[in-house]
Amino acid sequence: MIRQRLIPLVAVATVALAACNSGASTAPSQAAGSAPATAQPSTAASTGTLTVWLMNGSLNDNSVVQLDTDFQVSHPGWKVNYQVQQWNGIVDKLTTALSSNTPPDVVEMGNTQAITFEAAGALADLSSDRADLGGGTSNDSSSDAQLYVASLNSASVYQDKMFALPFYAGDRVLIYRKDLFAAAGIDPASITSKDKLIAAAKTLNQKNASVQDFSGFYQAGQNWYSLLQMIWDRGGSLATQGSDGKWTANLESAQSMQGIQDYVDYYKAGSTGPKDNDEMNPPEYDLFHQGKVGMFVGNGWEIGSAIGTDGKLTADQVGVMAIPSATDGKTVPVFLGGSVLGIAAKSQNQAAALDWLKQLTADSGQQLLISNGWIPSLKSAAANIPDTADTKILKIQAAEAAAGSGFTPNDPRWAGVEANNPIKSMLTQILSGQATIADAAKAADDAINAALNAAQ
Amino acid sequence: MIGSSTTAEARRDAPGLAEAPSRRRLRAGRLLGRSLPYLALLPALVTFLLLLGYPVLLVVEMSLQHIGLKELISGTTTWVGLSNFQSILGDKLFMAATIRTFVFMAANVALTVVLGTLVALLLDRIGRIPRLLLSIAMVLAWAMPALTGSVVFQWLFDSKLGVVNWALSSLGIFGSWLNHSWFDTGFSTFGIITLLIVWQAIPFVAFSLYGGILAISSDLIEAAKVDGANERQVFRHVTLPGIRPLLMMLAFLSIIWDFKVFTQVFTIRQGGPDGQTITLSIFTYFTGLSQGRFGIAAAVSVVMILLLLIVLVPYIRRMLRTLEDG
Repeated sequence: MIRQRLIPLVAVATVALAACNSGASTAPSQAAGSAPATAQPSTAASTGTLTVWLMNGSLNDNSVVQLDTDFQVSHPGWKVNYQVQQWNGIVDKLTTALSSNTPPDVVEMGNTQAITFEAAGALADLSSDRADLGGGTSNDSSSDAQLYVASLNSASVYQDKMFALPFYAGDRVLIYRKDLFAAAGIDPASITSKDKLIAAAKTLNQKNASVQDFSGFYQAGQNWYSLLQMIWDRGGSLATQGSDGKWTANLESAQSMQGIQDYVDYYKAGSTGPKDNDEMNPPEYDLFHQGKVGMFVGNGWEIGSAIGTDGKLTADQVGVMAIPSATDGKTVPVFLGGSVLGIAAKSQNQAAALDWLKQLTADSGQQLLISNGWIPSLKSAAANIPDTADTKILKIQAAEAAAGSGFTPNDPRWAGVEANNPIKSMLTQILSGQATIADAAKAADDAINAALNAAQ
Repeated sequence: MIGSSTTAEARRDAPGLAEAPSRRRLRAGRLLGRSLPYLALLPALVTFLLLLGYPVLLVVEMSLQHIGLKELISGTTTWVGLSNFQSILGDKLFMAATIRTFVFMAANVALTVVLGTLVALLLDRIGRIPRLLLSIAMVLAWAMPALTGSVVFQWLFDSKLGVVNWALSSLGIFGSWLNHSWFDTGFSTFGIITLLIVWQAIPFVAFSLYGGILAISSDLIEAAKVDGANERQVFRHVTLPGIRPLLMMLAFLSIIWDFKVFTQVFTIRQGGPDGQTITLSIFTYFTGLSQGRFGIAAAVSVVMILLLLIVLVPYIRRMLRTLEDG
């Protein structure tokens, strides 16, 4: 598959190279794209082809057309070749593509994946363009002079250098069936804590006992994203890094184990999710769509799929609220997912790629992200999401994120942990009764420690 | 083959020795005759060296270098001697994966060959119509791509929506299997992977052996029966010796396939639960692509080739002997 895709890529890059040369001849003083100069649009060659990899589901077609039209206006003579990639297996594809001599110019990657490529030198250093890219003057996520949404900034910075542009963020919310809540006499606003959520789940189970495999609160056995939020909610953490750079996994700490216990309690409140599989197998929004689920913790983009297009469910049957904490009245710190955009270090079109990126942190770019249902990359835009019918869910997500969010350990070796995720195994062992929480957490900690401290 | 063709050539040439003028042409002809098999082998050899030999050389080179994603991208590598090998030999996970791979391979090869033989014998005994139906069923199993088969099996054994749990529960003999997790232990997961692999491997073995059985002269079998041999004795003393060279070759191929199988094992559970189905080929993938330690992954690949050779060399010698005897 990779080979097949690389052929057109090579062709595109060859064309781009040729175009570059012709551009350089008209402006001999500027070696087109050779260095990531502090670019004004004019430093880009006058013609060329830019290859941009976007992930499936990031931007809708209209948005891509709009970005493209804007780029054509400022860069007549340039052509942008947009290629949509699937999330599944993207790290392998990026590894292959970025180490080739003719990589795509701009690549999108998940915020937990970025560090791998930043540390490897696969992405161009954007530090000197930070201000131009809307990021302010500081790399430090906690600084006020740093203008990106904090956890996206963390994903973009490696060893105090900026290697990627934050693209967008998203987080999970509690998606529920308004009509089933009404029929069971539950007021969604009353669900303000873990105990109340469990009580509501049990009521829904009773009222819908006739529906086969119904879950009042559906939770797959291995939804480790959801688990992380419960662990953070109890003050626990996944792993911490000492000043000597050594990682220590913390799942066996008392706080983390309390979070794991919360997960088990939710599961045992009548979830029919598989103990040995995750939230995508089967997709939880599918089960929701089939009417087998009262509520579940899902991403914003899952709502569309949960409603579906066959008329089984309508939009007014589906509601969204923030995920309650174990502490009454609070919400859980959310796992802030999202993605960043990098320029391939070996790209021949650095200046044009940089110009393409700048469009996204302009005001119009930020509004574009909001219209796609994402928390935009700039703190200022995220705090001022307009109040419309379309942005209701997004506002809940942004509020959750503002109240607190967390992230996986920012280390290139983390990808190795996720590839063969010991947290998923831990959950299966606990839920199937093969191990106690303490034993399973210790085993998972050992696996995480080994992977995060492996020699590089 | 080579020997027999040259002797045939020589025999045919013998009368011509009397005529002196054609002797030179004859010698040239003989030279051509002798080298023809090698010339015929040449294209295959060149292709083999280009497509397989070169990558193998590269892997050996990489196994002696420190290569991470960083080195891969910048194109700079450092030679580290045998330290990659030292580090994997000291790795408990690698050792566990090696043992797992051998046990898994042995179970799969044994099941494939034994069941394949039984199906071949069955094909020989049943009537035309059942044979046709059985053959069609096997061709379909054989034709199914490994990836498709793996995904189908995943859903068959799904704890919630799987038809297996539903069928077992509906039968009622074994109690309730609703929500039974087939993939929560390594043993059970391996069981399903084995079922899948053996199911897809039986057709090739069965068809090949069925062909072998058909080639055994029915006179031999009849003669044995006249001498008072029962079915089991006929199989042991007539059928089995007749198909032995084929059996050896099929077992040989199965060992290679099952030793390095990746698709099914990876698709079913990505080495899970808890890394309990990580075989050597999965281990290589995790070390190389997921963790970006390409040098170490190359070292694992080299060890895999060596292990496979150690298993196969005595086997090849025995197989060659059997073929010569046959």
